Amino acid sequence: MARFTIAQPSTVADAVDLLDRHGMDAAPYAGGTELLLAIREGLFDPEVLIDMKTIDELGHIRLNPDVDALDIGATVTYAQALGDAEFSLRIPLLVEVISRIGNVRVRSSGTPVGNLCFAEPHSDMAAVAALLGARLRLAGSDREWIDVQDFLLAPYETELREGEIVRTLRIPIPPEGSVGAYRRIRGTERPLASVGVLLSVGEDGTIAAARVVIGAIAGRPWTSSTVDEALAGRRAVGGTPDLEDVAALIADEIDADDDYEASALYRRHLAGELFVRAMREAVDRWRRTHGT
Amino acid sequence: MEPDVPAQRRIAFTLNGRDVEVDCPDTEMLLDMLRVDFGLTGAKRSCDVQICGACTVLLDGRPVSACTTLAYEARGRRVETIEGMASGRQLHPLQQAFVDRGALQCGFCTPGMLLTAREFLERVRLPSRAEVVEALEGNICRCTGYFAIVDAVLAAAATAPDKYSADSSEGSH
Repeated sequence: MARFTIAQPSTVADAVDLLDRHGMDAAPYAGGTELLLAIREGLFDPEVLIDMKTIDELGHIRLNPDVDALDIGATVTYAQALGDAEFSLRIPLLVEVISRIGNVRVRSSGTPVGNLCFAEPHSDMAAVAALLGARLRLAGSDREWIDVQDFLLAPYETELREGEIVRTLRIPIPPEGSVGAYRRIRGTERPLASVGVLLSVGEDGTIAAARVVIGAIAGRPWTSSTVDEALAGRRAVGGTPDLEDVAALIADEIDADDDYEASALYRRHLAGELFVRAMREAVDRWRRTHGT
Repeated sequence: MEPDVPAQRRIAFTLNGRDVEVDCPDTEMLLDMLRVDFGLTGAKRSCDVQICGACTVLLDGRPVSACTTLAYEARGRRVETIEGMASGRQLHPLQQAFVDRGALQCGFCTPGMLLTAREFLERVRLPSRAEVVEALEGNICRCTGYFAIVDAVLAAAATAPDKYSADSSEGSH
């Protein structure tokens, strides 16, 4: 039976203090969309939930012009992000992905930061955060920042150290001329495979730089510098770029396992196929905004 | 030995337009508080993992899974359940549309469907069929096959588009 009480810190320092005092018996709590289920399943039995929502500073989305990024507080919900003007304007790809996370009820309560801290291996939020080069700002230790890609270690495992909590998710705004796309295939509840691409396309229609992230397959967002480099220099105009070789490279290299929902072989195939579709969508978007 | 009695917290909130107060332990779910403390059994415990939508209530105008929302979260906020949707004996246009089009059989998913549809129509005035389908994708129905539900939502949207402004002056979202 769950037996927790809820503490209500007013500041991040208060929350860190509570965490220090209670150690493994305390859990930071915001939306609780995964935490409460884990408690109910008997996987976790905290004595104290530290309600991060009583800390006002964590509930805001701020455009940070000094670093050209959006700073998203730890208790900002998906619904709040979807209703935020800066979000929609600056990173439409993120809005697109968030609007399809979970269901409308999960989006009312759940938070991007909470999602990343839970490190669910199929997470769309993790994949798109990795794609955009997001970082997390921490409190409670002597380090301040960590890249999302370094933070997510393995299914349900993060680099968060004892006594640390996440206070902000910082998402760099993609540079001018960037275009992106995100495609996924859902299984029964979670994605089976997802691919995000972010392209920097020059005025002449050549891909100057590319970043590809494969989600839901490798236990954490999967990237490959070989794949990214293979795309640089390809043309985005004059016909759809031939991508079969890169798709084959992805299918070959990605870490995939058999599980109850799909075989490794099928997931590899999905990764390659979704990659091609995401690239086509990104290239189409670029063409449409450049009148070609 | 005395059994452990969990500490109670006073939760004051607005329930279907009425100011109410109740004491409950921090571990209590909103669903149980509504069903047991207030006798409002329209919200159902079905999957208990936030997937099916049978426990849907509106919290500050937003749909939430009451099965996985702490009662604690209601404090100072506005909770709306299916029991507050009709005005006395006058059904809400969405409820009437469900009745008219046979959009319910066992009725178990219906409160969740109606609240979700109502919130959706408050945001999107004249939705397409595809938009309605997407809006309701988080609510599962075992009986109807969904067509009648989607038809009812579209019919209600078309015939009563002015009925969906939020009653409260807060307009929270």
